[in-house]
Amino acid sequence: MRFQPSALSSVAIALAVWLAAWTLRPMFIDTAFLTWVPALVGAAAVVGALGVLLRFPRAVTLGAQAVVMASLLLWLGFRDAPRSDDPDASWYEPLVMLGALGTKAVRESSTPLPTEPGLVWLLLCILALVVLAMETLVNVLEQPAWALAPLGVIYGVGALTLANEMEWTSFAAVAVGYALVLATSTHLSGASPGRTSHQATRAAVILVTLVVASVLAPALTNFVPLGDKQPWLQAGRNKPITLSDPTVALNENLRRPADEVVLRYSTDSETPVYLRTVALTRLTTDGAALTGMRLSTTGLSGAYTAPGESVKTRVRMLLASEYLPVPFAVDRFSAAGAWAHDRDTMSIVATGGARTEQTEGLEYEVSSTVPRPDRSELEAAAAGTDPAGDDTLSVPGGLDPGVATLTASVTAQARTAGEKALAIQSFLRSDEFSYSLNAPEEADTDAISSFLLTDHAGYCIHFAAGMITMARIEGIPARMAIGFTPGKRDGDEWVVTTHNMHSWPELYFEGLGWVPFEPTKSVASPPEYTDPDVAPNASPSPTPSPSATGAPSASPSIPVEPPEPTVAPTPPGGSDSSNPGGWFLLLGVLVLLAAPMAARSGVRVWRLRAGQEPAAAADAAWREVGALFTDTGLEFSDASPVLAAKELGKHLDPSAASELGAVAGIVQRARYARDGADTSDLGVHVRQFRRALLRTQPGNRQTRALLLPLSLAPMNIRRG
Amino acid sequence: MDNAATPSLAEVANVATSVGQSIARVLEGKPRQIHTAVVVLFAEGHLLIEDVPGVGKTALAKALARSIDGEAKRIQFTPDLLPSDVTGVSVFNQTTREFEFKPGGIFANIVVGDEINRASPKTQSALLEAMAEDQVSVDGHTYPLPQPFMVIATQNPIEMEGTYPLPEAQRDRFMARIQMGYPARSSEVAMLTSQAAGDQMASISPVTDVDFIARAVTTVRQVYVAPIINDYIVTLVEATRNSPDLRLGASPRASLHLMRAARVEAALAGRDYVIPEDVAQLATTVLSHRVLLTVDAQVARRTSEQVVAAVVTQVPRPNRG
Repeated sequence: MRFQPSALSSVAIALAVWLAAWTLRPMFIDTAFLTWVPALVGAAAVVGALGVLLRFPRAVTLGAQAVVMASLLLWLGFRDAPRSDDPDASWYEPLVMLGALGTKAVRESSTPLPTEPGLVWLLLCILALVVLAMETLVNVLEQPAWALAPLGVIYGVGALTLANEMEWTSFAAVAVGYALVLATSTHLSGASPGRTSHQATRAAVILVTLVVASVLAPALTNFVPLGDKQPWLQAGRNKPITLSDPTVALNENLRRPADEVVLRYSTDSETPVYLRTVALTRLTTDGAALTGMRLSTTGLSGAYTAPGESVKTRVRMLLASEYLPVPFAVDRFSAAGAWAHDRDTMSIVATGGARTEQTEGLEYEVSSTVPRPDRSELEAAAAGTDPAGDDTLSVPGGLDPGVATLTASVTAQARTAGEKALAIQSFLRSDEFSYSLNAPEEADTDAISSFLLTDHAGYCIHFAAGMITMARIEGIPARMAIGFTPGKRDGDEWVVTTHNMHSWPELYFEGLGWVPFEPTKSVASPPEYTDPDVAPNASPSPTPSPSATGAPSASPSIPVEPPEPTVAPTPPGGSDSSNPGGWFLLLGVLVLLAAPMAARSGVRVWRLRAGQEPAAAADAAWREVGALFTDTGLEFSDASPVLAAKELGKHLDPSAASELGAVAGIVQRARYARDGADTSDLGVHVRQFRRALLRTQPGNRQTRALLLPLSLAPMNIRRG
Repeated sequence: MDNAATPSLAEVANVATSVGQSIARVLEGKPRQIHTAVVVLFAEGHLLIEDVPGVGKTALAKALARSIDGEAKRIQFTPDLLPSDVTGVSVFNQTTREFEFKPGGIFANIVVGDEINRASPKTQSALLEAMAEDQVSVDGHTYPLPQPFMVIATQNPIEMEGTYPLPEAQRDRFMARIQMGYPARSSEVAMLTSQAAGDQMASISPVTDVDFIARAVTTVRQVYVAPIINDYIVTLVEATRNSPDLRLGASPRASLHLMRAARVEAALAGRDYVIPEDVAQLATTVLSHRVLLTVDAQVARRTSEQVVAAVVTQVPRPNRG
């Protein structure tokens, strides 16, 4: 029976690709791009159907489809491409720039991706390639079953990058597409009369499979950890996560009379660790605030590379928090739930459904690189440039000029940025300053100026803000870390309570990265690298910051802005996974390259599989031998196996010829002799023949046989 | 004679080769025709040789008979030949006062029916009936013919004068038809040279005997024909029936003859099973005298051999997986 191409087959392929592309919509913020997909695949479908109806050769049809889709893509590309100002640029320069924009968007964003024109264009290009690959497999190579491979690539990319946001409907969509391709591309459409029962069986099997799969898929979701649906997915895709203000929680906790245990941790570090929740980069005279975070689920371990001591910490969290308390700078962590990180501050933010309660009862492990420079290194260090930008250098406006004068006098003796930082810390730790949870009733000027110049009393936020301001005046990038002091020792564990909540400055130095300081004297001793008097192994004497003398009588002296930083919603990724676009491109290219080889190997394995009837095994083995000749570009013979082997063997290496003779003898006896032949070793012989044949052929023929197996081409497919 | 052991395939193949070589001594440059004659002998068939006079038809038949040490009789068919001249006749014996059967020319292992189409249809059919039944019935008595029994009939091309063309129903009884054709120039020269030294036919000595041939036939019958081969044979024969160039295709008897001939071909190659090549090689020889060309094909000066050969090429062999 001849293979009958069907006009419906191209339509089914287009539909399948469109359905597969539809499953990718959670990867994008705006799904408007989906409107271009039907246009693209529809064009291919129309051309394919016309090609069949007008009885064009299949290769011509495929070529026409490629041309039509390429034209559409070129038009779209030039329409959306940025105008090039360079008159000497070549005509395709805009397309290159567009592609680069798309790649950049893929590389720099995490899912959901913005619908940059370049990104959409790249996606459409890949979908066009998928259509062509499927057309080639189904209508040219006549291997419709292999159409699953390109479809699977699309689904796989979605599944890899979206993980638990894939819904069962996505799977069902791809399955339906594949079933459509199978149903329309096989002999069903053009079979000879008299095979209607066969067609009916086939149609029934496809139908039953679809129904069973559709019923099973939702049932399976109960057993597959698909995760909770994300609130922003239901609320609308552009709705940001609203992070609560960490400083408000700090104020509240420090003033709360009852000292509740927040968490317990154990660490392999000899020095107890500060657990940090978040870092604030924006500082005004009214306080410190979050800036917009760029949350990402991927690339955590490579995001921060400054040196330090590797510390492993195991934390048992008791209270709710939307930030994960971890020692700075975190490399890896294993915590259940959905998390994302901000590359600039290395803060870990909950993104899951009940994100504000995500840490309740959570146990997790963290690997961190904790900055522990030598004092000498610190003294020699120069101010660095914050890779995240200049925010950490901006001195709050409206500051009393006295602050600058004060800073200059404090750092007068210091030569380097490191020494300046040490001088500022010593200044703030001096007896001039006192710890008080009671903020001054009224400040003459702004809170920072009054703390530094007149009041000299405050709590951790005041000290941190003061040090940050003075460091910035000296040109050292600085930001405010919020978190916990190491807490009290309890056996092997450390217990951290609400009164251990703390804020401290982090300063950025060339070659050292962000280095924490401790200007609040009454809370903790300074880090050992800032204080030569502290013996290296002496444990700090952490004390609860507030004197539990009662409720504060006034509101905090440094009011904080109501921060509502907008954060791009990020699907949960837990810990590290990889760049979605990279996967997409790499997988696509690899699959396209390896598809013929894989298909050929699959055909070989199928032909030489064990457990066939001897006659069928012999036929399949001989077909495989013929295919090997075709692959290597050698002539094959239609004669009976033994005669053919004698004739063909004349042109082969003796080793290959003898293996061929062995195969031919078995095949011929299995086919024609009364008592048949033992075909159990046939597969071994064929594979030995293949090795002998390939070994004795020139390199170009070997390459050709491996990468471009022509036996898969329709004109070479033997039908009996 | 069935008591003796059945010879092995190798023995059969050896003897067949010797017979072929023996015939080749009087028939230069005709290996294909000689091979066909040997195949038909072992396949228990009859051979029709068609060609112009003087190209060695009779020489082939006589050499074959001598080689197998069989009794050979030659019946020269003429328009006035009677059926009883072929089958035999009962004559009244005055001495014994009983009818006595005088066997005709057909009672022999190898019967050469020379110029068979010159006899009347009635006489032709007497021969052909005997060929089909391996026996002769005269006056209510049945006389079996000796075994092996093979008729080698020669006929002149039907266009020649004074011929009664064999009807297709009777041509169908011959397993194969060969055409001698004029010898190649070199072969003809070689023939002259050897004939100059004396009658070569006389120098042919038997290489086997009829007894061995009869036993070899049993061996050949054991050669296995796979269902796929039978299918191929039927496909071939069906293809002649559906060919647009033929107004009459080959009969089911043609299928049977083709299978038997293919079995011999396999045995002569030392195989105990038939491969498609065995069938394809013999198809033209076995089928082409049984088919009738359409007028169009005749006008286009195509021969039945060409048409059948084309059909064989077009039918895919079961080799193709």
